[in-house]
Amino acid sequence: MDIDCLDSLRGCGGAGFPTSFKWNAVRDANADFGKVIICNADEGEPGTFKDGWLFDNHCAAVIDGIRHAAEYVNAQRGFIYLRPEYSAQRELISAAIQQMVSDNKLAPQSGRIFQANGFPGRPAQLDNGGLSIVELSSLDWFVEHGSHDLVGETQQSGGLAHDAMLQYPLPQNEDIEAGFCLDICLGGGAYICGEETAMIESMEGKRPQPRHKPPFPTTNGLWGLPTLVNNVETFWWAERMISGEWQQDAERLFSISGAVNKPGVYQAPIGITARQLINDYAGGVKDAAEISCWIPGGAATGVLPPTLLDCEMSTEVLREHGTTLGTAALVVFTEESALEVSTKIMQFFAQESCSQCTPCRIGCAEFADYLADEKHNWPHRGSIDDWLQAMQLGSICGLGFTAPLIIHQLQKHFNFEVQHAN
Amino acid sequence: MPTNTLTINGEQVAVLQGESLLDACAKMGISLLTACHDNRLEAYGGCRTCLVDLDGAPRPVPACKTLTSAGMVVSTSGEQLETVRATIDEMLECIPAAALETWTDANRFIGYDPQQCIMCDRCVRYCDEIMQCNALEHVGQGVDAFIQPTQGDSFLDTSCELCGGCIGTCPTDALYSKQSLKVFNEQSDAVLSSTRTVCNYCGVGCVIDIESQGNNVIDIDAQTGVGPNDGHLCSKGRFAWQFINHPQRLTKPLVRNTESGELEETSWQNALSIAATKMLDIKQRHGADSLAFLASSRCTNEDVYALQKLARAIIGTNNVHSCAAT
Amino acid sequence: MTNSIAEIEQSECMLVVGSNTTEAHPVLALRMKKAMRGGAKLLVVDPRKTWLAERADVHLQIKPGTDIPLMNAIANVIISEDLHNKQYVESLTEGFDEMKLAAAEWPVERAAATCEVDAGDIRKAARLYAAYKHAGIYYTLGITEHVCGVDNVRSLSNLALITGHLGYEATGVNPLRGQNNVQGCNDMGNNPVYLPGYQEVADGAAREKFSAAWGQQVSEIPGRRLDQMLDGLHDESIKAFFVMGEDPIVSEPNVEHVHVGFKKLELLISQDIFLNETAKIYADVVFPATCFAEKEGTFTNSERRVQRVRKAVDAPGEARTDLQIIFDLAKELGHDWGKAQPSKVWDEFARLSPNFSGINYARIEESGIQWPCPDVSHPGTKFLHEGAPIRGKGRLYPLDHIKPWEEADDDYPLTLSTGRTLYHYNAATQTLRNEGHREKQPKSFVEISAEDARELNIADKEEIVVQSRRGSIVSWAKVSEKVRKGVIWMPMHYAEASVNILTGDGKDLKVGTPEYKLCAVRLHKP
Repeated sequence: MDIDCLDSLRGCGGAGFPTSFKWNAVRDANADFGKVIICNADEGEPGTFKDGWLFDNHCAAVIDGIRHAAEYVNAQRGFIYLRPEYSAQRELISAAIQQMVSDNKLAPQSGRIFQANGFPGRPAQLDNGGLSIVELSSLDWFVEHGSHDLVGETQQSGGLAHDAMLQYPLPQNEDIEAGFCLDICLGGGAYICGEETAMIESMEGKRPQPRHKPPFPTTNGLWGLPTLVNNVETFWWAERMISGEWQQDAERLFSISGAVNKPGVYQAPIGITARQLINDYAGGVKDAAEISCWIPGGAATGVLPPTLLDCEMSTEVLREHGTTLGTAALVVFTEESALEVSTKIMQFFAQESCSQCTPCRIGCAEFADYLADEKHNWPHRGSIDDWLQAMQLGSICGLGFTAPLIIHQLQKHFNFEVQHAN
Repeated sequence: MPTNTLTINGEQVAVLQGESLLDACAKMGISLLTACHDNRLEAYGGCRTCLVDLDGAPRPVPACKTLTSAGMVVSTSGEQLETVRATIDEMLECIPAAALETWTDANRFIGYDPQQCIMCDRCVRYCDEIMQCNALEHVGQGVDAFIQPTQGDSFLDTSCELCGGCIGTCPTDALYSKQSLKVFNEQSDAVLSSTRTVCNYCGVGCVIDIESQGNNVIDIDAQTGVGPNDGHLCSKGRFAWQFINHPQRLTKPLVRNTESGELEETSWQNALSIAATKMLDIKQRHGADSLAFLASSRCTNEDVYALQKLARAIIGTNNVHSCAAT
Repeated sequence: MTNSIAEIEQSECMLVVGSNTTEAHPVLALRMKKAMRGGAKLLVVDPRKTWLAERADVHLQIKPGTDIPLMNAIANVIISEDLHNKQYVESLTEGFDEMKLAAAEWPVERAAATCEVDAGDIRKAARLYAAYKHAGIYYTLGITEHVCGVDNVRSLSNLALITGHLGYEATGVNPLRGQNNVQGCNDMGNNPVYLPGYQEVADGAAREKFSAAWGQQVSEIPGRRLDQMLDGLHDESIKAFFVMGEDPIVSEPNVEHVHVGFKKLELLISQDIFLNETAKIYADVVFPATCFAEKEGTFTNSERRVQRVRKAVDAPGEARTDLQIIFDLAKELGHDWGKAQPSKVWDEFARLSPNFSGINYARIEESGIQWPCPDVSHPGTKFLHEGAPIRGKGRLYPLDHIKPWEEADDDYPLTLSTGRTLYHYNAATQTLRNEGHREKQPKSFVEISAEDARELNIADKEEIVVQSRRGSIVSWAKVSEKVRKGVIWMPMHYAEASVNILTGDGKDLKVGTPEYKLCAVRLHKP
């Protein structure tokens, strides 16, 4: 199998890592004890709902992508790590897997459902009570969507305790002979579970705290096995490219939400402007109101001013403005100020920090308080810049690295003055 | 053992494979502050106080969690690095939101003060890795995170063995001995001292430090790297010391009043004289072998040596034994 | 212990027999836990499902008192499957053929029937023990407190010798000492047949050496063991008893019988930190002594490490150190030994005992030294029998099953076993005085299997009477998965429910260690 066709493809989970590089790394890794593929469908980045949409509309194609990746890297076991709220999608995936089992495309035991571990005191939830993510918008949405706490009853894991997973610590011979086995793993129900190593920890039944890297999952992933982790959309594009349906990595699925008339998921060229996305795809701004600020690629990419609505939605161009394309989740605000939105994002991060490392655990919370404080008093000895730098350089994972971007964007684009108490 | 040579602050150092950058720094006499690190536990890398610059790494790495490899070039100082470390130290002083709430637990040994807790996870990891009890858990997220007995039960209801190892490994005073707090007298100006000695319970011979205030024992602790116990203690060793200052201790010699049949307090001279006279009398009447001596395997070597010498060299009998059966 | 405690971490396989290590030696058990975490195999032989047993690769939950048939069967498997270390056996042991014949009397199936365990598990345990190089044996009183205690130990040393599992790190035969200074107490010659440093009373030269040093002729008449002393109370050959820090009417078996003996005594001198039960009733003179925190000296731990004990606080009231009391008494008896100075006492002992001559207080100021340590330049000995057994050739013993002194029968259908819990210590004079420990485990209990409880209609936590042929006590039922059907287990810590009212007169045929570990009892409602 040849994957030259994937040369241009970059991961769609937010970091934009070259896909073929990962696939080759896993293919070349030690195969003595087997290999694993994880399709990251935790989709926790506020504003992002394309993965759910993909399962709704192209479930089989996504799974085909996973199968082809498995074939390429020689993985015996695969998991779709699914956001626990996606119960409708879970049924679609189960049906698609069953179909492929009947078609002899997957091992017969495929389709089991496991439960990953969450944070104690905050169990994962299976059902979101019919709440549609797209319908929610604006500020409440961030907190509610992010915290996952608002809906459903405490999940009793339906007899699918993570112990069930631990019974299969390594692929057994019969698994290997039976072909690629693809199962569903219900996520731990926290933002950080979308971080690939935290996700792996949660699948191993541990507290979902990101691992130190290196080593990377490509060599030491689930149960220490070489593990390929890709986003749902990445597998989908890969499948389209491998099947020849698509050649170049030139388009993305944009999740558009907030104050627009037709929120939803739209496929559009990378490099399209935000204004085009809003007007040509999402039916324009709600009530034709004036945009106060917008987010280009999910909460972690921070806020941008309306003056930049005409800049190209590509990583290269957005980087010039201090941010990235992220998960290509465009959120439009009309009623809330950039400061209000940024405060909510920072509060969200503070709440979602796994509390493993000091800079993220303390830094996110202190900056959330600082933004929320009307006078923006900074009560600490070290300067704000020192603190932002400590978070950027001293954190363990992307949550801590990128949280300072929220403040930087406010400073850069909204003339937000840094105040000092001392 | 294969070794790796690396460069730290421009100097070369050879370390064993499997040693961390923290070990390598220690070898060069560079002491880095650590909070979440305990030699007896797997490296955690959470507190970030031991960050160092490593050539080729995108950002500073925690020395404790980074294994050495040949050719590494490491720097432990530098303006930016030092600012980051100083800022993290400042962050560790922040009292998190969860600190306002705490658990109260009916157990009499282990207390928790969340205001001192820096979420280094040492206690949780100790309980998991060393004791393998999993009686403690790290719950919540962000600044709302805290430590509690697993499932929020009392330690008395978890698998906790009340060893207090969590107190031993805690780098702050977040976990503390309730017993110590109870007997420690803040008002007193009695001298505080620490005495290194050996535990008096089982035969492992744990080396302990008895902390005392004047004549009162206020705590027992152990140091990592010392003795056969390497800082570990069990529940008895760490906490069962109330007997030392117990009011029921014998403080005066007693002799039995032959008329009333009661034991009565007396002087040392009288007690010793009665004992000696009767012993000699019995020896004279029934022979040396009519006396028997039972030594205690709780006493010191010197004590029991002296006892058998008394039996053999003064009384003249080999009737000496102890309950030592193992 | 032939090995050191720290070495346990290097184990590849551990055979733990009759030791509830995590409760009786919790800190040593941490080394075992670490080895397990590193993948070491664990084999547990215990009638109870202890913490270790639950996690063992093989748990042989034998019927109490059947250790020898089991060990013979294991030896049998090792030899018949050709897993023994032939070179070691040939060059460094003696008695192999006899031992092999005796073991052959116990084919796996026969042993499995006698021990009431699975034959496959015996084979598995034998193969695992033989397969790993760093395979150590650990045992405690579950092995020794039997009529066949000595033979039980020999059955274990047989296994070590036929596999050559002796004389290097984490590999040997390791009794775990139950009390802080059991090892030292033996080392110091508190033994009727050994002078200090394991020099035999029967050895004329040794007697002469000590006689010269002490200025008094050492008697050549062997002394009495503890059990013989107690017997001597009954036939009145023992008239006076000096008891240092012990409480025989609580800690000795068949308490009623012990009482009868003490009543006949002319003189009982007790030396202790609390007024113990024996002293309360029988002592003529009681000397108030000091606890470990109030004196200077040394303890010797299980791994033969002599460590410094230091004074932290003053003794209460007029209490004197144990050493001072003995010196004072010596003076009163007409022998002035001078000032009671622990270091001088140690030096006298070390001078007279070659295996200890290299140890002095200055050398153990920082950390202890493990004997043998013949001279001051010797670093001490981490493990014994390096290269070859100390006595030249390891002796293999032909052994056969010895039935317990008392077995369960129709009248007394249950087997009682006794032991220590994590939270208390022996007669619990110290730990029951700690509020927290008392609260955690306030009163006596009887572990009983669900099956037995159902048959006897006993509910969990129900008050019950435990009765043996010697007497009866009241305790509380604890329905537990730890014990097997037909066996109940009680902690030994509670004076008000002293298990030694129940225990019998069985004792080791060779050294007199009482058979605390089993007697026949029945249960009934109060």
